[in-house]
Amino acid sequence: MQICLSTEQLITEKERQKNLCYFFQVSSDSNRLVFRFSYDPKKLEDEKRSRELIEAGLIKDLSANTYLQALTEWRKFLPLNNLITLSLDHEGTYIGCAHRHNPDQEHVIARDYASPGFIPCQSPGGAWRAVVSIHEVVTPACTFRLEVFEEGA
Amino acid sequence: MEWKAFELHCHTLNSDGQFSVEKLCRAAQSEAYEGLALTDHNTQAGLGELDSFTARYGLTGIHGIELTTFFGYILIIGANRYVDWRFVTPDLIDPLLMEVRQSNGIVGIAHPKIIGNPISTGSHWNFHVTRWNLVSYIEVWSRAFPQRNVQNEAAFQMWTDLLNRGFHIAATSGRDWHAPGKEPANAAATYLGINGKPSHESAVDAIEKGRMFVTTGPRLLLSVLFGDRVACPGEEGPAGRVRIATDVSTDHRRHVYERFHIVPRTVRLVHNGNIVAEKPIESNSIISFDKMLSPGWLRAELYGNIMDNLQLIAFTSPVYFV
Repeated sequence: MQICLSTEQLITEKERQKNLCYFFQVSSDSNRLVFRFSYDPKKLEDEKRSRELIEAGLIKDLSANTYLQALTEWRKFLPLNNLITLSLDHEGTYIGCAHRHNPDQEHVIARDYASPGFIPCQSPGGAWRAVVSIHEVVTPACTFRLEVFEEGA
Repeated sequence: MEWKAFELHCHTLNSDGQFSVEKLCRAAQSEAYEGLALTDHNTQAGLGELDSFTARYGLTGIHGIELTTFFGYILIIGANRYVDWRFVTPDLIDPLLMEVRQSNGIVGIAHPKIIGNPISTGSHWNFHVTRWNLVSYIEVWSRAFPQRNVQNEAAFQMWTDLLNRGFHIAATSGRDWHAPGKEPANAAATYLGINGKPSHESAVDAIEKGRMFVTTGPRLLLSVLFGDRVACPGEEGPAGRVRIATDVSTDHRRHVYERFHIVPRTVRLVHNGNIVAEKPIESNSIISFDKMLSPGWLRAELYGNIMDNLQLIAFTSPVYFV
């Protein structure tokens, strides 16, 4: 397998609700791509910080009386998690997204097969874009890694 | 026209659901749904196998997607192409909704008042819609046991407020069905008024036109007589004196909900946010009303007992008066 892309990024809450785009080329005789995507940590272990974030979330989205009731049950919202997802485009065509909560993922895009969430790609050669969408960062920092490998005919 | 029970918000392994497409269809059949919409997060990858499995299990399949953005979740039904969700911001939602409409898609707002970040990331509706005419429906009842969820009350009020502002918007339920439950759950069904043969196209037409009612039990039909024309939810007629009929029937899907001891008690008519009539359900399933109604909207609501608690059991989308 030949590597097309390898990146590791440290992110914080500043990157919340942002999309980070990575562009890479795949050779024309390639017929299978493997994407390894992971991030760490997944959970916020700090219970005091969790309570602060939960309280901020509840007060933002609930009315006064339901906010107070929900606050008494704040523990049911534990654990708070980071959520980062991967979506792909090939030559301007959306190939799909793995909107899942598993922080350790491997996806395959091939001519006649694709991992769940993605569609097969008849001719994987050409320009690709991997979009890493930072839905939520609750930990002080989080590192994600993305590697893309191609396999030829 | 026939009324068919649908589940309009479903996920599979293609996003974060635990169902395969086949197992989802089998689960829907076991709960006597007659159709479902596949609405995986940010992917249409499951749609390729949806039609063969819905056919196998005698269901009508609707092709959909849930655009799961940072600022709210958008259910799209029937679009003929993918609309990008990734770069939309709260003030730029109208162009995205326009693009959905241009792709023949129908726009629904998923669970707008659910608690969002950091608990359920992005799921609270934070978009600044100005062109509400681009939105066809709001999912006002989310998840199983919808009456227990205070965020559903807020979503219901949001829908009512939009109707009072003059927008024609329907209301749906959605289980946000990710996995088979361990215990039986009282989940709502959205009944669609299907004209002709049940199909993706006739189901999408019903959603777009607002021919629907939502129930966690009995069927609730609303009819308004305009002259010699009978109108159902989603349709309109001239303001003035009208004869209204509601029909509550308990036979359909009874085996699914009877374990929750649902007993219908009263039918209420709500016009422009005000209760204008309320009658108990007696021996006849049909109740007739004679009302003088000004321009606006009218919906029917069914109240009754669910496990000894008096609750809203069902409601229709509006008939409009112009």
